[in-house]
Amino acid sequence: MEKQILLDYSGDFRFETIEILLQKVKEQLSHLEVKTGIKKKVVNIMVECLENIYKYTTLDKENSYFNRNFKSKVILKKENKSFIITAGNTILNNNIEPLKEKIDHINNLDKDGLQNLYESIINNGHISDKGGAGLGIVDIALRSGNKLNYDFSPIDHDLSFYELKIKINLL
Amino acid sequence: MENLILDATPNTPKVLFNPADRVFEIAGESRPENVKDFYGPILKWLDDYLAELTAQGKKDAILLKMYIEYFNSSSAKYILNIAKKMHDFVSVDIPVTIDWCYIEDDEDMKETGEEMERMSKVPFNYLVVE
Repeated sequence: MEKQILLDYSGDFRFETIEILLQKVKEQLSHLEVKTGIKKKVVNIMVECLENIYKYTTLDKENSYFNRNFKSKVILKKENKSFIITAGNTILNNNIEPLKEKIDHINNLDKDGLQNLYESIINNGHISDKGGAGLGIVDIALRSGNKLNYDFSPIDHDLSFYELKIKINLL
Repeated sequence: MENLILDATPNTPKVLFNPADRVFEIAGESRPENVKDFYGPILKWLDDYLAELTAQGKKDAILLKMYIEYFNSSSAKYILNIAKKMHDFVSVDIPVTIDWCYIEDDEDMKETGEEMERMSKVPFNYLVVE
C-alpha cells in the first residue's frame, strides 16, 4: 500500500467550505477498501477539525487580523497502517498556553479518564456563543485512540500558526 | 398538538414528530451552523407535548427512532438532552423506547448510544441498519 493524499486544502474557510471538503473526503474514502467503521471515524474527526478551523477563522475576522493572508489548511493522508489528519490555522499568541494545557491534559488521560472528561463536559458544559461545547478536542482524542500531536510556529508578535495532527489506526 | 416536521438538509437531520402515531424520528446528519437554534425548538416542542399529555392524563407508549449518520460534538450534547427529556416522560409513567440505529461495524456510534442510554436512563434498542 502506498501513501495517498486524499485531501490537501489551504485557503479561506466559510461555513460552506466545511460542506464541500466533507463531501470530497467522503467521496475519496468511498474508493478505499477500509472498514466502514474506520471511514466513519475519519469523517467524524474531520468534522470536528473543520468546525474548529471555521470557529477560529470567524474569531480571526472579529479580531480583524484575518486579512493578513494566513490561510487555514487541512490535509488527510492515508499511510500503511493509519490515516493522518493535519489541521492548521492561525491562533493569537495569548491563546496558545491554555490550548497547550488542554491538549497536554487530554494526552495524559487514559481511555477511562477521557471518557469521564467527555461525560463531565457533555452533562455540565455550556454551549458557547460560537456553538462549541468544548467537547470537540476530547471527542477527537476518544475517537482516534492515539495521542494528539500539535505544533505552534510563531508568525509575529501577535500570531502563531497552530497545527493539530491526528492519527487514526486502520486496525 | 401540532406535528413537528423538519426536512433534512446536508447538515441537519429530518425531524418527524407525529403525536397521532407516537412514533418520532430523527434521521440524517447533524452539524447545524447554530446548534442552539436547531435543537432549541425541538426541546421546547417536547416540553409542550409532555405538558399536554400530563394534562390529558394519557400514558400511551412513545417510540423515538434515532438514525443519525454523523453528528458533531455540540449536537451530541443536544441529542443527549433529547434523550434526557424523554426520561421526563418516563418519570410520569409514559413508557419511552429509543431505537438507536447504526450501520454495521460503526462501533463508535454504538458506544455513543450505550453512553447516552446510561446517562439518560431511557431504554435503548440497538438496531443495525442497511
